[in-house]
Amino acid sequence: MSNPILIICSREIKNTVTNHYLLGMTLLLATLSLSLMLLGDTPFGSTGVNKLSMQITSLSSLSIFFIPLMALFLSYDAIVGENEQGSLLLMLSYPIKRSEFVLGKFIANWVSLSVAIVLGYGAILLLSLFDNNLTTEFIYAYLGLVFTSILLGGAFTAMALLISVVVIQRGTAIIYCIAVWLFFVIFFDMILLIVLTSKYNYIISANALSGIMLFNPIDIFRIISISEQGSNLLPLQALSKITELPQSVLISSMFVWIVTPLIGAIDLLKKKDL
Amino acid sequence: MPKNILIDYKNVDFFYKQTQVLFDINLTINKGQSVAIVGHNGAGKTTLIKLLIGVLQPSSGAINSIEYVQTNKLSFMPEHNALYSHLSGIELMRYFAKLKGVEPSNINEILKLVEIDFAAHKKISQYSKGMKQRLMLAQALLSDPEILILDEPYSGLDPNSKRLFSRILQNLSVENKSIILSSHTLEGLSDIVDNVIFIKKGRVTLSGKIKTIIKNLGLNDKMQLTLDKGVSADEIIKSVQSLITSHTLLNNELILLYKTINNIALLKIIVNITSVQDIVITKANVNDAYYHIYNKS
Repeated sequence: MSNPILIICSREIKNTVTNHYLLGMTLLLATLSLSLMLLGDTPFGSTGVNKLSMQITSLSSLSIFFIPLMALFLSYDAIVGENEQGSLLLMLSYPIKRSEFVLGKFIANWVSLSVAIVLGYGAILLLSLFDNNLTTEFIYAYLGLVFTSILLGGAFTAMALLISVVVIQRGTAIIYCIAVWLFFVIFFDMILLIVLTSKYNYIISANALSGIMLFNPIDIFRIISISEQGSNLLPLQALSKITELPQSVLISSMFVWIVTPLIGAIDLLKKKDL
Repeated sequence: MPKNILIDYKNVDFFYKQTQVLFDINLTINKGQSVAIVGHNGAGKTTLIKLLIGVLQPSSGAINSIEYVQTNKLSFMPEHNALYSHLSGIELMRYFAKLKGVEPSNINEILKLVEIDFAAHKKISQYSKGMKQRLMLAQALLSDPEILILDEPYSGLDPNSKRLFSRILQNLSVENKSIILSSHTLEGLSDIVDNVIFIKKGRVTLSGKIKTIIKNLGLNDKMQLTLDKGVSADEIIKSVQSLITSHTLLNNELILLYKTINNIALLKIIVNITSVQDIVITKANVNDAYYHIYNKS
């Protein structure tokens, strides 16, 4: 192995294993997803709502809250932490390009998070297997959820790296990460909802709303998850029609959310005076 | 550029944001030359080191250097313990060897050289500060570099580690490696480096060969005489008056400061005074040059 990206990536992944971050994230996702699955059986059992849809929607909500948080906290000190302890200076004196350093960190943290998602949500598959509920439909929905959750994790990992390059102290990085999480997970939709329900709702047309939602990876994730459920998701069917955007556009947008902050992080690190 | 020149800076300035940190830096470092960059804390030594390792780029000026930045020709040892404390010494060395693209076969040999082979499998978090510094030096020796740049290598080292560092660096110097190190003191450096760059408030105030600097600064040698009881110091002072620049008397210790050129003449007079118990001569050294430069306004 002589590629610096792979060497850094491999070392970082080993770190997430040895410091039990990977185990912690996996257990958290497994516990929460299993709890949602088990609890989900009871209230919706006789409402006529498709059980699978509700389970996947519950898991989507879990992804919305926890995956950005995990991604941000896994990567917030990836660069600033190295800078604070002085190892960034040492690493950059080695035959390693700054872009390779950022990419190595990014890939490692994204892979670690993705492994946690696959294993954590994999608990649901095991449970379904025991319950004899493992249908093709369920597997398809599960894979869709895992795939979009991984993309969501990638977007927030890239944002955390960008923050980690911008700031000069770990403490500041934590504050910025919390702000980013609050903005995208809570405030963005809250502001949108306030405008849509106010007398100024004419400002945002249906088409404009689709466009605006692309500015939030959480919303893109939400739309993909909902539309994947299609007509099964009766209570939210109307919401799914807010956007007529095709899946390809939504998934491409998610990739834009991964690539843009990553390029920003690389570019800023190149310009940064250490 | 002549073949023996490694690094040649002409009128280099560096601004950190809006603040100028380095002013009009001119320096030439030849192949096999050992140089100490000396100055107080905040003088600009680390910034100059960062420029030399290529992490920072000059704001203006001309650099003519061989292509050594981000190659295995260069090794760097930072000031702080830039180590991953959750790894063991051997794991860290293997990681750095991979990043440098060198065979990890000589890792044990290097760890033995810096005398931490006994702790190779211990977590770095369990290392003492001296052991961490030695591991930092070990990583710098991994690729058998042509240029070794060390930022404050002696900072916080115990006397044993200092002696070990000096011995290793002297050996590297003998092997014709170029050693550039920064320090805020000059203690023990004259055995390792033959050239010195004094830096003050971002400007090179003086540079060149240590011997030439001492000579040009006209620094005094020191002779310390322990006199027998009842011997008149005045008599001695009177007889050497024309050869010394100043004197100090403390109990029965007489300290004479004089120019090196008067060394023999002064000694001839002194040895004729039988009432002197002991004579200790201290040649003007690089430390005196340091105090001379930095105690000037």
